[in-house]
Amino acid sequence: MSVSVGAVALSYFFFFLFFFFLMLVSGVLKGSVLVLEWEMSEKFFMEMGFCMVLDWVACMFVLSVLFISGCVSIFSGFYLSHENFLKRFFFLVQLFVLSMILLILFPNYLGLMVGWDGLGVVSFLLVVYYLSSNSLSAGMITALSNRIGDVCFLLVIGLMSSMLSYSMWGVLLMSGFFMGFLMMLGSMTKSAQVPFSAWLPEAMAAPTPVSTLVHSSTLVTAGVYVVIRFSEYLGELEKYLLMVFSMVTMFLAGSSACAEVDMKKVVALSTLSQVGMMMFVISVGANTIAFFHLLVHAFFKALMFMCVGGVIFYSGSCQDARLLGGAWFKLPLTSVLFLFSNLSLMGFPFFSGFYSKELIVGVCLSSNCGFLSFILLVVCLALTACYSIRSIGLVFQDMGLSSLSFYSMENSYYLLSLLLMMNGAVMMSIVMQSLIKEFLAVSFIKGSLFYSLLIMVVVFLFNLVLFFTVSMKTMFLGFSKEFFSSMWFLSLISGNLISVGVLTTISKYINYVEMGWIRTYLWQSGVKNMFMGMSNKVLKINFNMVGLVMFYSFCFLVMVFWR
Amino acid sequence: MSCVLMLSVSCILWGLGMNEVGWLIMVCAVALLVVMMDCPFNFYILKSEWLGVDEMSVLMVLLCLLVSMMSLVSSTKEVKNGFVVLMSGWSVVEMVMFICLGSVLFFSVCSWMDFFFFFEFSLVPTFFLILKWGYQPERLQAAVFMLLYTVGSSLPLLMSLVYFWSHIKSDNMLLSKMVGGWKDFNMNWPWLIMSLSFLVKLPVYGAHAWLPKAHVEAPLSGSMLLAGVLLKFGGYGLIRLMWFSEVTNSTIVLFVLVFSLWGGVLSSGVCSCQSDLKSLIAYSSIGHMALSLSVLLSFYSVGKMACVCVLYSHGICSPILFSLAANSYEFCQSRSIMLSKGISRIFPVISGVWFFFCILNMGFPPSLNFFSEVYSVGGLLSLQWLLGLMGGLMCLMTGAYCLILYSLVNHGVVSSMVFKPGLNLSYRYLVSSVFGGVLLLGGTLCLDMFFV
Repeated sequence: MSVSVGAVALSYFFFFLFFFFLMLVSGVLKGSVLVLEWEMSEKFFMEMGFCMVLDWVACMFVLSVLFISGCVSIFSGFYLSHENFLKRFFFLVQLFVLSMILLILFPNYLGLMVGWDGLGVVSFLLVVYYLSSNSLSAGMITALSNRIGDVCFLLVIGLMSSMLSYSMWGVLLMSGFFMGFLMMLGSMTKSAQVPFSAWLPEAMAAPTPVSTLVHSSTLVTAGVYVVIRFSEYLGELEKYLLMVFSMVTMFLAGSSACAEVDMKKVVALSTLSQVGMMMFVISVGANTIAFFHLLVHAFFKALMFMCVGGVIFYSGSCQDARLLGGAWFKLPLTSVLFLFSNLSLMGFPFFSGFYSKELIVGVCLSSNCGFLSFILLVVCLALTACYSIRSIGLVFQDMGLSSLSFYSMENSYYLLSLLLMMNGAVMMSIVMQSLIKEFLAVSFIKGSLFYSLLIMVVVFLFNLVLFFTVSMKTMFLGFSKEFFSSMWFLSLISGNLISVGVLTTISKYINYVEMGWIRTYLWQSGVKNMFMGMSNKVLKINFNMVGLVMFYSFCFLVMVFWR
Repeated sequence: MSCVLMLSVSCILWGLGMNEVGWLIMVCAVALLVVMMDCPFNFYILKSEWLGVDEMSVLMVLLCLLVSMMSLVSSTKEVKNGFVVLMSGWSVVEMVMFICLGSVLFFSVCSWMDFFFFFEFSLVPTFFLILKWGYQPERLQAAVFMLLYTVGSSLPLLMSLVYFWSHIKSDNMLLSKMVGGWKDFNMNWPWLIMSLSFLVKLPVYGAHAWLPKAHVEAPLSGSMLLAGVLLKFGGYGLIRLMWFSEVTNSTIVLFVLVFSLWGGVLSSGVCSCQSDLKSLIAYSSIGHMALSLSVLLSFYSVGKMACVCVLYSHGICSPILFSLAANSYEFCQSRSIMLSKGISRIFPVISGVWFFFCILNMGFPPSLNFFSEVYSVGGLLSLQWLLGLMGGLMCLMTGAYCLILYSLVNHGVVSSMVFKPGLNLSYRYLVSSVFGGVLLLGGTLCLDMFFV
C-alpha cells in the first residue's frame, strides 16, 4: 500500500515541478502565451478543433491542482489505509485530476466538455465510493445537477456553431444574450450556486480525501474558471443575474453553516459561500481578483478539510460535531493548522486569505454594485466570522463526548500531508503576489474612517445579535432552526420533491399510455382483432365451396381485364 | 465486381452442404466490403448493376460486419456446447449470418426493388431467432408483433415503388433520380405514406411497441443485431427516400419531427422506471433513434451528418450494453433489476466496463456519441430554439437513465443470486466491448469518416 501511495504522490509532485520549471523557462509570467490547435474535421465551414492554451492563468491553476492532488494522495494513504479497493480509489482520483487538467488547459468548448463531463461523471463515482444507499442518493443528485450544466453547455455549443470558432476568443456575431446566459447557468450548476446548491453538502458522503480534492478546490471552482475564461460573453444583464444569485448563495451558505451539525457539511457550506463570493466578484467585473481568491481559497480550504478529516478519523469516523471536541489537547498540529486556516478564511490580517478578501471588498466598494448588495456583502463577511468561530469552538472544546482520548499519536502520512499543505494557509498569497504582478491590484478607495469603522461595527453588532438569538432558545428553536439547517429547504426541494414527483409521473404515464393506449388499445384490441378476424374470414371463405369459386373467379377477372 | 459476387455466391452454395456455411458467408461479406472501400465522399457511385456505393453505405456495411462479429463472439456459448440447438439444420450462427448477409446487401444495392427485397428479407431470420430458441409464450407474441408492424407498414412503400417503376421504367436509384421522377408531384402526404415503413422500423414513438417486446424475448445475438443493425435500416431508408423523393420542408415533415422528438423525450423518461434491464436498453434505443430522426428532418446538411453519426455510434454502443446485460443474466439468472445488483464488489473489471459504456451511451466526450449528440442538438437549435431545448431535455434524461442503469447493476450489496458454484467467467464479452470502446473513442480522431 505504501508503495502505491508513494508512487502516486511522487508522480504528482514530479509533474508539479516539471510544470513549474516549464512555466519559468517559457516566460509565461512575463506575459507570453502558447497556443496549440488541433483541427479535427473540415466538413463544416468553421474550425472544429481542440485548442490548448498555456498562459499564466492555466499554469497557475494547473500547478495548484497538482500540488493539492499530491498532498491529497498522501492524506488518503492515511485516511483509507484499511480500505480494500485502494488501487481503484487512486485510479479514480487520477482520472479526476486528468479531467480537471484537461478542463484547464483546453479553453475551447469542444475540448472543455471532455474535462467538464469527465469531472461530473468521475465525481459521481467518487461520491458513491462507499456503496451505501446514502451515498447513492448523494451521488445521484450530484451527477444530475452536473448533468443540467452539461445540457446548458451542449446548447451553448449549438449556439456557438453559428460563430466561427468554439474558443474563448470568439466574436459575438449573433444570439448574444442566450449564449452568455446558458454558459452562466451551466457554470452555476457546477459551482453549486442557488438554485442548484443542494448537491454540495450531500456530496460530503464521499470519503474525506475526495472532499479535500474535489469539493474544495477543483470541482466547484471549475464553474468559476469557465466563467473567468469566457467572461467576454457576459453582458450586463447576465452579470446582474450572476450578482443576485451569488449573493443569495453566500447568504444561504453562511446562515446554514451556523446551524449545521455535520462537521464536513459546515466546511462544505463555507466552501459554498466562498465560491459565491468569487462569482460575486466576477459579476462586478474583476476577473483577476476572483482568480486570485480561487487559488488562495483552494489551498487553505484543502488544509481545513484535511484537519477536519484527521479529527473525524481519530474520533472513530464520527462526523457529527456535537460528538466531537477536545482536539486542542490531543492533536496539537491539527488544531493549530485548523485555527490558521479558519483565521485565513475569516480574513484575519496578514494571513493568506486576507489579501484576496481585502481586494474583494476594495473592488466592491469602488465599483457600482449597489447599496443593498454592499450591505449583504458585509453581512456575509460577518456570517463567515460567525461560523468559523463556531467550528473552531466545536473542534477545540473538550465536551468529554468524543473518543479522541483513545488515540495517542498522529500518523506519519497525515503529518507529512499537513506539513506540505501548511504554507497554504499562511504564505500562499504572498508567494503568488510576488510571482504574478496582476495580483497586486490597487484599488482607489476613499480610505476614510467612516467606511472602515462601519464594517467593523456591523460585524461586531451582527455577531452580538446572532449570539443572543442563539442563546434564547424559544426564539431560535422551531421554524428558523428547520429553515436554516436544511439550507432554506433547498435540499428537500431539490432532492425529495423533484425526484419523487418525476418518477411518480413517469410511472403513471407508463401505466396509462405505454401499457394502456399503445400496447393494449392499438395492438390487442385494434390490430389483433383485425388480424385474427380477417384470417377467420379468409378461412371461412376458403372452406366454403361457393366462396372458393367466387374468390378465384374474381381474381381471374382482375388479372385478365387489368390494363 | 460481378465476378467477386458470383464467386461468393458459388462458394456459399457449395458450402451449404457443409457445417460451417455461416463463417463462409462472413468471409464473402468482408470481401464485398473491401471492394467497396474506395469511394470519395458525397458521391454515389454505381459499382456494378447491383451495387451502389457512397460513404454512408460503406459506413453501414462496416457497422453490419462489426455488429455481426461481436454478436457471434458473444454467443459462442451456443456454439461451443456439445448439444447445439438446431432448427432443421441451421443453428444460431447461420441465422446471424443470414441477417448479416441481408443487411450488407441492403446497404449496398442500388435498385429500389432489391432494396425492398432485402429490407423484408432480414425479417425472416430475425423472426426465427426470436421464436425458436426458447419456449415462453411471450416469444410468439413478440415475434408476431414485430412482423406485423413492420410488414404491415411497408406495404404502402411497395405499392408506391411499383407505381414508380412502371412510371419511370427503371428502378435504379441513381438513374431515376437523374431523370427526375417525382418533380411533378406534391410530395407531402405521399412521402409520409411511403416513409411509414421506415418510421415504424426506426422506430418512431407511436409505433414503437414492438421494440421492447422483441428485445426482451430475443436471445443475445438477436438483440445485438436488432439494436445494432436492423434499426438502422429505417434511418438509411429514410435518408435514401429523402434524396430520391425530393420532399421539402413542410408542415408534414415538421409534424413528424416534433412528434419523434417529443416521443424521444418521453421514452427516455420511461427508461428511468423500467424494471427489466433489456427493456431499459431497448427504450434507450428508441430515444437515440428519435434524436437522429428529428435532426435528419431538419433538412440541414449537418442534420444528415449527425443522423448518420448517431446511427453508427448507437449501433456500436447498444449491442455492447446488451452483451453486458446478458452477462449479468448469466450470474443471476434473472433480468430483473431487483436481483442483479452489486457487481462492483465482486467483478471490478466488468463494473468498470459497465460504467464506461453507460457514460458512452449518455454522450461522454471525446467519443463519437458525444459529437453526434452535440451536432444533433445544435442542428435542432438552429432550426428553432424550442426544439433545441427539447433536445437538451432529452440529453438530460439520457444522462439520468444511464446513471440509473449503472447504479442499478453495480451499486450496493451483492445480490444473493450470484454465489453459485462453478461460475466461470469468460472474457469474450470484455474483448468485444474493448473493441467497440476503442472504435467509439478513436472515432474522434477520424471524424471526417463518420460525418458523412
